[in-house]
Amino acid sequence: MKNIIKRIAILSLLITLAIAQDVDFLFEKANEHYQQENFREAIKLYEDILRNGQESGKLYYNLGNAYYKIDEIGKAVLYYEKALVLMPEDENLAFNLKLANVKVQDRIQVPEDSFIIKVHQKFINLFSIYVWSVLFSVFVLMAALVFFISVWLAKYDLKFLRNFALIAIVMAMVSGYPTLQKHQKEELTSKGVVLETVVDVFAAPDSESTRLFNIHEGTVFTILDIDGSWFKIELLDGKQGWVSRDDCGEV
Amino acid sequence: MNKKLRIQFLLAVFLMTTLGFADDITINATVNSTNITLNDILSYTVEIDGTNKIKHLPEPQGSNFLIVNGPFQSSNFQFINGKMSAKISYTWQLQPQAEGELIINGFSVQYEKKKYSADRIVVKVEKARYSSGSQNNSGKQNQSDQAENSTEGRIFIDAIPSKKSVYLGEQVIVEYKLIYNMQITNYGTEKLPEAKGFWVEELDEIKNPQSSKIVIDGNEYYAATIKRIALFPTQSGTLTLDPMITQCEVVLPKARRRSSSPFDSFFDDSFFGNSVFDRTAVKRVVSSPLSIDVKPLPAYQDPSVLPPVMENVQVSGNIDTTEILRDKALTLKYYVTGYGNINAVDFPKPELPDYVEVFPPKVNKVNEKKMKIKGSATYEYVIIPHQAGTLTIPPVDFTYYDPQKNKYQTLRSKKFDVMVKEDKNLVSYSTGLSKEEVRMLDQDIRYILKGRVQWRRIDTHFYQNNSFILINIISFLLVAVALVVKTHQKTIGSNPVLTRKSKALKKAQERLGKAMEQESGHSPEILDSVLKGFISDRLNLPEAGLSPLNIREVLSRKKVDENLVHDTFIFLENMELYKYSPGATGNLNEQVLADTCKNLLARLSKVI
Repeated sequence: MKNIIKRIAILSLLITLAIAQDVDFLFEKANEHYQQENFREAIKLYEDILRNGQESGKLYYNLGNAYYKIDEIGKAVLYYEKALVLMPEDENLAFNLKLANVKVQDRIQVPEDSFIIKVHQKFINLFSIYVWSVLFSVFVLMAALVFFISVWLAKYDLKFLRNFALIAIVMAMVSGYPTLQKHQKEELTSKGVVLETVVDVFAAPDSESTRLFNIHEGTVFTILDIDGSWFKIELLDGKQGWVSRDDCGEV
Repeated sequence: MNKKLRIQFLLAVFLMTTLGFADDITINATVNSTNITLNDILSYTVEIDGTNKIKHLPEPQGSNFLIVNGPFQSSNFQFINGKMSAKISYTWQLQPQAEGELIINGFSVQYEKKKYSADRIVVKVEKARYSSGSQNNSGKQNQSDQAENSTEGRIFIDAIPSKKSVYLGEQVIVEYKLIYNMQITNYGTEKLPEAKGFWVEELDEIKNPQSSKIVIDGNEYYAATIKRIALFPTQSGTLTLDPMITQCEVVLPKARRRSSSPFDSFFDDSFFGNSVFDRTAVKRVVSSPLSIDVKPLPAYQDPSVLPPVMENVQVSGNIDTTEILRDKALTLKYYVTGYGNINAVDFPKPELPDYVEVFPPKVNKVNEKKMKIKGSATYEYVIIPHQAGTLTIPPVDFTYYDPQKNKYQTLRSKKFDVMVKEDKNLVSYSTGLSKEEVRMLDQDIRYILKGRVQWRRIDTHFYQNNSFILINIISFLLVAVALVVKTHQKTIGSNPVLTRKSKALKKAQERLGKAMEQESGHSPEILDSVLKGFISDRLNLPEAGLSPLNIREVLSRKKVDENLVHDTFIFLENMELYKYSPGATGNLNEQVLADTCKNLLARLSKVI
């Protein structure tokens, strides 16, 4: 019995290793195609990786680049936005996303953020949600360790341990806050990107209803609600409406 | 009074001057046709415009004609907006005498000391189409008709095509003329001609056929067009149009009435021409078949297109607005008119940029069926430009074959420019680029990222991350263990029995350690109390009054190993002994005693 479990464990480990190797191989192959400017080939391979159920910031970034190169700005923005979730701090990504947005027709005027909000955003975007969450758990671990030690050494009055625990708890809170913020922003609400040249925004989830306005390829919006094949969207400036799901991609 | 007179005077002057102006006249001589046959009777009309005072004109002079009738006079006089117009016309009917040219000389008239003249007219006269002997165009008349020939009454139908040789698809009009010299009271088409290889379209019905006089071999006949059809050949070669059959109700000539009634001559008045006393008969009249040569069209440069055959084509187009908001609909119309079959027309689609949405056109094709089939087609496109700026709708070329000119013709519609503007009411996000963005335009994106990649499963939340889960489990365990320990310590602290028990060994060892440091002489006492204290602490017994016997009893009850019980008993007995007889301690090694006590403590701590 023990033997079988052991074998299964080894087998599954091997399989995961094989998949990882396979994905790495595909990624390298795709990068080669990109280098040789076979952007469509590269896109095919990058998307194969996605179909395998694997993702990474680099993958999304490279895929966005490939779409940018074949002038599909909507898709480029979509994948840059996806990359942004995984590597918010990447400077190359920030540059390319900005460049792609120059090619987007819609220029939504958003009031400039105040200094405090900017700092807050910058802080939250120091790391991705995964890094923040691991940081949080590490600080919690430290606090727990200090607690554990203090219990064992209760006899000795160790004041510095208490201070240490306090620091660990504060740090856990500091890293827990961006984790929750990002969870709220990235995992509970989703964003969308227009993929068609021009998309009509309707007053109701019905193409016979009143057309409110148009948005163009590459415009990013927040998805508020989903009704069948329709997204209820909100633009950065607060305008709302319904668009057909087929014309958009979900970040 | 004076004033009134003056006004009247002025009015009179005014009237006289206007009348005076009207005195300038024109003379115009016309004929109804310049190309006739010997059968026809020519109408010659002289029209004088400007006056109706010329009461007499000279009879027409010339060659090769006889005046059979006239002059018929008609005059016209009217005031329009204070202007007088007067007109008078004289009409003569002339019969040609021979093939060749019929010439009517010009003439001049004197009117109010001025001379006005009319031009000479030449009319071409062709040989007779009909003769009384053989009917060249209607040779297949039936027997009854032939029989009628001998008498005065005669009736036949002539089918006259507008052309005998046409192109494939070109329109031919066939006119059916009823020619008769008897009274017809009624007629009806029994059967339209069969036309294999043609597409036949009947033209508008002739409700009141106008009859005109013609002459066949000196005899007067009447000719009336009773039907017109339009034919469009659909195949080339020599095609035959079958005869048309008509039934006519005719009044039989009087010569056949065997009556000697004196009233005959009275009833033979034209007033009673169609009276109940007339005998009528129904006659079946059959036209002769027609053959028409159909030539194929010359090859067109693009064999995939088959341009329609049309004449007098006009192409036009319009748009309903030249300024429009983006995403709003605009109507673009193209019209094609011309003689021919409009159903064969396929107007090309305008070539518009990709950002313009074009709906399939609403096409309306109408064939007007008057003297000739004249078709008109309307193509109505609804287009929606999705981009602001100037939208140019390029001209559209329409090609057709003109049989008159014997070549393909191309007409071009107008080019339209439409200003497409942004709708200010709609959200307009395209506000142009900032300076920084313009600078960015000519930059390229940064290169792809390579190297080691940390792969993740798609669509997992942060709390599904392995390291996150692992670290948190460790933290949880640590806290849990610490908490358990802490609660344990707390329970010990709150229960004196347990505290005494847990601290017994420590207390005993501490006392033992202290005793060893002290000077000798007291050690048996201390060792005794250390061991007794430890046992009483562990077993929760009162320390005072404990004898070695008691201890042995209690330990035995706790089922402690008998050797240990015995050793403890002996040790305690000895200590008691040394305690009360200190002299015996002289030969005792205190160090050995202490070690024995330590040994016992260790052994006992394991079992109680």
